[in-house]
Amino acid sequence: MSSRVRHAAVLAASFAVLLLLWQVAASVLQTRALPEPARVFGVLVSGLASGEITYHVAITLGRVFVSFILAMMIGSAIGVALGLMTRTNRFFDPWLILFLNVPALVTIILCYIWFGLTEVALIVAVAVNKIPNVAVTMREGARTLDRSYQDLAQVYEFGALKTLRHVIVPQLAPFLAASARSGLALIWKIVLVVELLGRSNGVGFQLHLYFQLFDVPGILAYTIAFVIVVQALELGALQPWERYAGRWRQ
Amino acid sequence: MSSLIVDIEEKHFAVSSDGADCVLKDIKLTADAGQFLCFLGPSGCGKTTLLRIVSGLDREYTGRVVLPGKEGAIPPKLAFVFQEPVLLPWRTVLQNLHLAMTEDQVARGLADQLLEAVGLGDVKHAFPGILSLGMSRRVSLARAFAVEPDILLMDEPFVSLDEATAQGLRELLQKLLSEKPATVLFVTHDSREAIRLGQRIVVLADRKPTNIVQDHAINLNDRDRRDTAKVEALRQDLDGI
Repeated sequence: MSSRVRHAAVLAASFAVLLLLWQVAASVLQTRALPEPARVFGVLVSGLASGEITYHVAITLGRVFVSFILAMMIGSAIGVALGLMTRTNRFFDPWLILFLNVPALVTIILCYIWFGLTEVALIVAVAVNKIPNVAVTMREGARTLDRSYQDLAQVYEFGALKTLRHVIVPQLAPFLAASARSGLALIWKIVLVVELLGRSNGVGFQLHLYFQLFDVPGILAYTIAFVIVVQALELGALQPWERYAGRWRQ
Repeated sequence: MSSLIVDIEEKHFAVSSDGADCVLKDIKLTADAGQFLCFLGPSGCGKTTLLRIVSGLDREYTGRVVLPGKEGAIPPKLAFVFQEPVLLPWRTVLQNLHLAMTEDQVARGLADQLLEAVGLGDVKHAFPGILSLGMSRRVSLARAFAVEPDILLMDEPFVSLDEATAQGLRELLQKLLSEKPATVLFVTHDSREAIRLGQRIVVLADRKPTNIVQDHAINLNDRDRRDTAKVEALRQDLDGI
């Protein structure tokens, strides 16, 4: 318990030093380009109070959620299939490398051209950017699947659902966690770009707006609100799930 | 209950481009329901392959296998005790048993009874990682009986244990079988173990492809099986091939 308290103290001190540095830099420079922390937090608080920030963050969060789930499901299915089937993998591996190397911006532009400036285009663009990464990680995971557990499930007639839930997914859990974490980090960033290029709401759209107005406090307020939500997801969802899934490792 | 029929014409493994490697040829036998049959043969002669074919895990062979079943249309229930315990490390001991069982068996509390019977009642909520090899093997044995099998396949289930632990597990197996009879195919390379357990010993040849070279009925009572002199005398017959 005391180590947890110490950990929290270090975290608080770390943020305090960062804020202090910001404050010092802002007071010394006295420029519109770097507002003082107090002003930024003022904008943040009023934005939250009026519901404007909450609205746009919620919109973005919804988009992140849908594309994340879609990318994880499709990417895992492709990755596990390729990991289990050597010959299929040999054929599709070049495709995977190709898609892995297509710049995110190209995918986004093409999706908007093909599907119009729509929600579907956004979701597809974000998911397509992420699917190859998930597939590559999950392919490695599938290669580590233990044949003897498969035999066990077959002999004792677990059936498809039980086998998936109790035999396959637990073996893939570390790989799922790895691709979920890197996936969340990537998707957050791409969603903003996609919003900036073709949507009329969401954090990306707002950042674009404040960029045109040269409103730095607005940009930073949205950034902070956004980072807090991502951290909350990491600490409140991803890490507890990982601890739960790994509890059998003493 | 009906008999077990094994009739394997040929089993090949594709090893290289220049041909295939035949491991089993003309393995034909019938085992009466409830018989304890030991397959005895040296390591690597194809005993595990034989069990995998009987279990349905390996279907790439020519021939047929008919499992012993109950009367009527109920499909025969099979249990397999692998050479390694093969417990899911991310599920508790009790969950490992429940996963293999039907809902009805779980509801009857069969898993708890069996874990008590194998002396592991107090670790049923533990994860298998903390168990010793001997304990894990007992869980694996309990799981096999938890599905109430008609046929029980065992692939050298007591190797790499010290003799006292192995003997303890053999006695446990016999006790469980006396309460829940099943046809047993038990694979081993240890002729003493085969004599102590088997009602019938089928000896497989040390060559490729292997086939059956001897088929002994063992008419010993429980006292004789513990009598070292009698066991050694029988071993002479088995080893003198």
